[in-house]
Amino acid sequence: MPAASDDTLLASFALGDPDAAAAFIRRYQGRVYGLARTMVGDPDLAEDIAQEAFLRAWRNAQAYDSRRGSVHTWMLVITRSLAIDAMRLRRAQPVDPETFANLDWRTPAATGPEAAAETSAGVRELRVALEGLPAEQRQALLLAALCGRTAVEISEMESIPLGTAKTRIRTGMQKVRAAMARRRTEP
Amino acid sequence: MTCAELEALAAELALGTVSGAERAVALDHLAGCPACRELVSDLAEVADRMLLLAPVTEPPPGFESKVLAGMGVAPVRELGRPARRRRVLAGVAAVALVAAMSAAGAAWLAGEGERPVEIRTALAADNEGRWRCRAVVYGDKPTWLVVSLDRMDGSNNSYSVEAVHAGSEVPIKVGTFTLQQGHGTLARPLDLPAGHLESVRVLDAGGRVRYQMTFDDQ
Repeated sequence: MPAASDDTLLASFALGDPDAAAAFIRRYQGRVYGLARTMVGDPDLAEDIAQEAFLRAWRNAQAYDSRRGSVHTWMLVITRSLAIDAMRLRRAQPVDPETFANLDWRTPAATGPEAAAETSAGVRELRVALEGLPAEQRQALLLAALCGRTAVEISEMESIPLGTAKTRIRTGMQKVRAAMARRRTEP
Repeated sequence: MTCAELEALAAELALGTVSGAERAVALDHLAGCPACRELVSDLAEVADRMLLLAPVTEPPPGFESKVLAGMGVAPVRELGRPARRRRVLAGVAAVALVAAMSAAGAAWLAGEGERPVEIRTALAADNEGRWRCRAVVYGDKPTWLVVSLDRMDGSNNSYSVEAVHAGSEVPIKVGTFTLQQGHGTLARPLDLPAGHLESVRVLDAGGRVRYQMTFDDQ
């Protein structure tokens, strides 16, 4: 039997159907927990955040708009918001250097729904664009995007002026956006 | 805040790392500046896509059961027993909800041998994702109205709910509810058919209408 589409599965999940809810959780839990773990480090807090992300998705399923992105991305945006809130409450801990060093953003997911999500969202283009950035801009952008770090925190972590941290994030983001726009218009 | 100042902050806004007063000032500017809104929206597309670069890590055992428990749903453990009726219901409802997810809608749910139950939904949501308010009305004798409000700011404010009956100038006072860490739900029976409800509004403690959901499916 073919797997349900993301939209259909989300709809069944929203209705609280046990089979659909279990299938929905299994489909997204790896990415949701993976992002939460990357952002907050602490496995217990990451699990709490991931659980709350699913409950929030269940409560707010009708707000999902497929025109604004995939269900994968929507789940991750919810997770990011919760993780950032949790970090602000706990006063952000420094990013574990080992976690950041092991952040293998270059390697695509090998198979399954994760690989499909990456293909549909143009993540390969994103990786190429990130590869083209100067290392310090890429580092600042990844710390902000995947670790939820503010410009102030990045300036402290990297021992650079706040203005420099802000510039690195902004310039890196603008270059990635421009590179992705160029690739879209290439024949 | 000027457009130049907003532009300097746009990437951090898109990444969700701006908070407090700075965020409030920026959102105030965005509310009146379509050009800056478009800039932040474009950058948010990149920021959101970057989330797919995070590693895929399976959570500890028992994670699925904990989420299901939080939903009040018991894991399905029975094997070999047909659950056809529930699956039929879920299938019909899923299709209906897909239709409803665009903004507002009506659906009919029916099990075998049961008469249909009307479900009508209406949604009001902030484009920036700061809040969502949803109204669901279903059934008759009694008709149930469920209003849920989710605010990302974690506030604990109290609200009252009024239902507006088609053809009537006077709203029906339904009840009050209080948010807990940004989330709150009110569920009350209504003394009118689900199909007669025109809109639902949520008022703050000062009596000001803060959210209005209109059932525009008819």
